[in-house]
Amino acid sequence: MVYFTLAERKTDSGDRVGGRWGQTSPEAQAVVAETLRLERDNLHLERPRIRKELVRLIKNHVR
Amino acid sequence: MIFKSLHLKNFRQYSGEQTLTFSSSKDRNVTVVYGANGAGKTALLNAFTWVLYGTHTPAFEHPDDLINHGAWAGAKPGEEVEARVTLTFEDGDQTYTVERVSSARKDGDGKRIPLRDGDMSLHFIDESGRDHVRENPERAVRQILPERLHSFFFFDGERIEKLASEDAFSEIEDAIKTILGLEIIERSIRHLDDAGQELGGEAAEVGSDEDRRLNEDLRQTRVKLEELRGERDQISNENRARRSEIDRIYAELAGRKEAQELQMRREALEAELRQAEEEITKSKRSIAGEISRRGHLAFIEGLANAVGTKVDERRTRGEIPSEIKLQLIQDLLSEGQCICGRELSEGSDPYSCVEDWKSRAGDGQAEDAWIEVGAQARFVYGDRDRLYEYLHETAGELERYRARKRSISEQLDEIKVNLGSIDSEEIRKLEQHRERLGEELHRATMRLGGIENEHKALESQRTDIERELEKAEAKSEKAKLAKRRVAVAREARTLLQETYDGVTAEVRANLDGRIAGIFAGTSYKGYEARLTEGFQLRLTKSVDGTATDVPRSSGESQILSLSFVGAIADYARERSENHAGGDVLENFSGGIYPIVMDSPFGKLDTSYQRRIADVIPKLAPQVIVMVSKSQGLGAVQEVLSPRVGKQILIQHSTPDPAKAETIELPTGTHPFVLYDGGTEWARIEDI
Repeated sequence: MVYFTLAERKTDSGDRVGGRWGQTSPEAQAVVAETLRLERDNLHLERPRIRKELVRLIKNHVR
Repeated sequence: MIFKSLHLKNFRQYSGEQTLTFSSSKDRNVTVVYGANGAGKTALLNAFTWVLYGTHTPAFEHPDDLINHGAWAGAKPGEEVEARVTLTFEDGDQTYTVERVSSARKDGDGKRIPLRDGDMSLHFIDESGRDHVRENPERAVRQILPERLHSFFFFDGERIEKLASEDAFSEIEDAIKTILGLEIIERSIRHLDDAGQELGGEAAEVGSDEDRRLNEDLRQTRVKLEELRGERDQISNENRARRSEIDRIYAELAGRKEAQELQMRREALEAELRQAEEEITKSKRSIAGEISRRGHLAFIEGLANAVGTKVDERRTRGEIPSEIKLQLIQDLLSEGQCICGRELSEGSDPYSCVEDWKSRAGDGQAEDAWIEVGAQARFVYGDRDRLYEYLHETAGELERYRARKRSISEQLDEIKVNLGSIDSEEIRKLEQHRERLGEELHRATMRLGGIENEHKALESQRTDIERELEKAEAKSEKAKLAKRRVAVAREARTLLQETYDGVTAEVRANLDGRIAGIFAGTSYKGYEARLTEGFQLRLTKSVDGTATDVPRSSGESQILSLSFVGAIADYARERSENHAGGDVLENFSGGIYPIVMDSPFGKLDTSYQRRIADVIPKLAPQVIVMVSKSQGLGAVQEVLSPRVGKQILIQHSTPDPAKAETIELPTGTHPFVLYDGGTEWARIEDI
């Protein structure tokens, strides 16, 4: 999973790159993962369409 | 990516068809291409950038004029003449052939009717030997080596030193972000911002009047921030184009006999000017830092005097040091026995006698503190004097650098006047154009500084509004839900921003180590190369254990910049070996890239030429280096020869028999510049 690799990335000194990951709500973690996936898979999509899709996703995660 | 061969057809000076093949040996990874000035070395470098990306380097004059003049002159009316470049390379297990063509038809009056304008194709041969055509060749090439990185792998060796200048940080930062494929995160942050704004609007609709007002303030702040970012990006792009155009003008002036000397002098002075400006900035920062750390010492005189007087008074009164310590009296009384052996029982005369000493005894801790304060008060004067001395020295240095800057500016003005007075309309026009670009660049850079400040202020304003919105209490369930959604969008955005900053810093630190390693292998002065947190290349030396910036010569800057190029190539190689795929952060999977450089030894003295010749083979698994006769023989040849796997000559013609010359290589004497009754051409000769 994308967010898993993000959370596990570490710097040379051993600090986590996604340092605050553990303190972030599961909803926000899921939203980050979905946003990155959306952006990667839909490069051709225009900004307003991605925004709409994201708003829909966030509403799905936070009910 | 390892280059196998480059085929040219009627491309610039190269008439007819010419093929170069390159060394792909691991131990002898360097291909040296010898060519006289004007023979076609820069055209060769640009054959690579054109075939792969359709772009050219700043020093490439008349980039639209690609078709060989001789081939065009010899064409019959109605005939199509093409300039074609074909590059064959290996990447992973596949062999690719990329080709680009521009062509024109000659009409009855000899005029050009453009037909093909850089049309590109990409083929690859699979493991079974079958040939395939890639649908989107531009995209496929960019996937192998991103365009934003290509200037680090194909470059004009003399101009690469600019990477070490103060204003190259954005180029370096861009390269690092490209290596990581961080554009995806950049765009994702923007999308989350958009979504947060839309959700904020919905929350405001079901919220209080205060929510609506704050949301409107937030919307306006965002609009201003977007406008500023747009303006910043536009100015940055325009500045890049201006710098590239100035580079082109410089190359053109340096190529004209009547302007050459002045132009070379100008470039040397501009390098000195940059150095002086960096030193001025450094001195100013140092003065500001010292004042912020130790500036209070200047105002401490009264206080230190008062403390000294108090300590002296106590000494005079005999209070410090005291004859007897309070702790001893207390111990004797509690143990019930005096040091003379008498019993000390409460109410007895001996007890009262010892107890009397309490008022005369000193408190050990207070006494120590007084003594220390007294000593510190004396040290304060020493610290203050040292601060004054340091400020005095640094201010003197600052003034010397300012004077140096004024003197260089005057010399540059004089060069400008001298160039303007050369009897050549073309040089005058180039000079006027350069001056206009320089003024525009200056104004634009000032504006960028202003934008940076406005941006910071607006960002902080936005954070404040967001906090206020979070604090405002939601009245209904609907409003609470809307608020939670906004909060999640913001939380996700913050998390991505922090990840983005963290990953960028991680790669910067990684490259910093690699640069230091490559540079250490070439330096004989004990200097250390660093990539700072502000993405600037620096050269430092250790003074009393502290890394201090040192002034750089042109040669040092060039080695520093080459070390950065080598670090990028090394990082890309390692990334390709460890790339597991699947992580969206690792959008760019890295790769093995050759480096192609034109004239890296130009203005340097022999010792720097040796050092650069020593570092070149270590930069990448394959290096193609183009040199003139004066640059490529002697010391350079001696150092490079154990690593050279292939030598190629660009032979070219001259209409002047007096200019014909030969070149002495270990393989024998070869024709280098040939007299050919007026026809001009260049051809490739393997040796």
